[in-house]
Amino acid sequence: MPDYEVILTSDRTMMSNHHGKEFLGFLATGPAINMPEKVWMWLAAPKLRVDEFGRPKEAPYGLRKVEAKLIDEGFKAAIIDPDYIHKYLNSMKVLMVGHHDFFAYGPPSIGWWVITGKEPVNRLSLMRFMRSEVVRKAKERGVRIIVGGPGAWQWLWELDFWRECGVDLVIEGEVERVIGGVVRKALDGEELPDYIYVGPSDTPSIDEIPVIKGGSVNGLVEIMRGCPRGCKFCSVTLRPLRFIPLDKICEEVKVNLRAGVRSVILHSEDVLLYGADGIRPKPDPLIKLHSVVRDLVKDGNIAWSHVSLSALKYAEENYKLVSNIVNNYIRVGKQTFIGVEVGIETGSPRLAKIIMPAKAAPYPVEAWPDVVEDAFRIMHENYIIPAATLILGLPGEEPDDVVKTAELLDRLRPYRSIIVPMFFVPLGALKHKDWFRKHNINKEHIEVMLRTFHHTVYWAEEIMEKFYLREPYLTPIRLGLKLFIQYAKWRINKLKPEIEALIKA
Amino acid sequence: MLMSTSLDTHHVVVVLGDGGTTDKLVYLTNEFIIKRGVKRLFVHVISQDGRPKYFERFRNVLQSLIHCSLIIKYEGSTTNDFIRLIKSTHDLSKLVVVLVGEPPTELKDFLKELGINYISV
Repeated sequence: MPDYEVILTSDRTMMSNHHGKEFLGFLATGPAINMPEKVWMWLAAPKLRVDEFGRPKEAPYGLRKVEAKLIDEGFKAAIIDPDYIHKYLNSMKVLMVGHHDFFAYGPPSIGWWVITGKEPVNRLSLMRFMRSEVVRKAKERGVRIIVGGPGAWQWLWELDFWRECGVDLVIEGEVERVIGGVVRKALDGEELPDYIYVGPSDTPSIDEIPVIKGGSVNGLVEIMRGCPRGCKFCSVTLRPLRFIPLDKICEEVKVNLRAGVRSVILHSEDVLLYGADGIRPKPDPLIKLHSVVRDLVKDGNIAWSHVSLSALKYAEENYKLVSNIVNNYIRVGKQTFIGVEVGIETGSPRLAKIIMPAKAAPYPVEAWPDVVEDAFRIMHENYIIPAATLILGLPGEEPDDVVKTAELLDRLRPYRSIIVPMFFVPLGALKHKDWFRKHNINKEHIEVMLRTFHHTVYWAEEIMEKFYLREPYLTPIRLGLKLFIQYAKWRINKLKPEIEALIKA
Repeated sequence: MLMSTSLDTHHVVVVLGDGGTTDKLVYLTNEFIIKRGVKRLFVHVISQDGRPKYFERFRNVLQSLIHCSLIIKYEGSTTNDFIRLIKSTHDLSKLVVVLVGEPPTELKDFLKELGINYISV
């Protein structure tokens, strides 16, 4: 049995590969609806395969980076599945818990919570884990508890729980440069600060970012960090732009292949800006990237985490780059489509100008709705299935802005996509602004939510019929989701008179 | 490095006394960061609210400081904790002390005695 001193882990909603379907992970951001929580958790976040020591074959990418950094610096550290931590009670001196949405305050969790009035399962699961006997015992034995990740800021709103769990340190930001020093202090029994925020000046250089040592969830591999667009609601944009060299990307794909993960999710805030000249995609680096990755994964799936709609339109209209990549490197062999997350955020050019002035670039921000529609058409034609987000309640939003978003939704109806409305969460340069709450919802917001519901349900049925969850072993999941969609339709129909009365009021 | 008390880390001691708001502290800290080009700020907090409850009055400060690295550490709740902290500081000339609300009189007396300037908000 290895004698790990530093154990990295998370709760089940994070420590899962969501049946190998990243999008199913979104179910973990909602509450269990019309079914027992256990069934919902099985749908959203089944257990991972682990080795004899409780080390998962796949683990969240952020945890993998921290694990790699600590191992490189000589620490006895490993990611352990939450069900196996008890095996390390004797050797563990530091317990590190990572999460991107500890208490469901992030998007889209907070939206589902507000709409349904029920706590999302990711929150319940994390709190259950932190209150578990093994964490309590670890604390009693003097184990230092460090929590971190993109959702670390949420602890500032859960101070009673912070004290209850005996958390020693909350750390946020790109931690590669500092985490070794922090863990050394924790192991040496030195005093720790309560909170560390790693700002832009302490972000790691490319050389300081390690290669992961074990498989990442669904083969996620980072290809760049930072984003040049400067949208005010986003925290990533504060950090400098860095492209991960191709050889490092390949190394990580190989690590995943060795772990038995045959798919790849190329991760970036905007995959099509890999190797780009500012905000203009360049064909060579992108083709090289996809060509090399396809050669490595052979008939495995390739997915993109995020692309911007403007980069997608520019790449296709100037170089036919999107169709080239999709036809020659993605839709080959068994792969029939590619999934990706995109941000619409608003249909109002006025609001876009205030909140995300460079989102449409190199096109003028006034043309934002046209950019969105053109990009959706290009994606539809190229079998790219986007999960798109809208943000309701952005600071400065007026009813007419929301009407414009509703109008844009009508224009997007012909294009295969999932569209999810999210409530504004103060992040990035808007961190000091107020949250969007239930009492802020007006009739225009309800109209947008209804239109996204009808759009998404319509296309979700088509997507499941032709593209998604087609593997025989996923039949129970597909049936479960179909039943859920039928239930949601029935429920909305039942509420229709009340909703219409609300809109007319 | 961020965790060390290297030369490029600026230290601020914030005493959260009775009453007072941290709104002005947000403004002053931002001004301080911009004027001095601060990249790393170590904030030592003295507060009777206890740890981590003091963040309730302090998180708006954290939320507005997104352009520099931050280390926040609770140093205790009493005047004695404050005195211990000040006495352990090697270079008092670089120290910035901010008193939010009404701090105990003996704490102000101690600062006067050592000739340490402070900002009241």
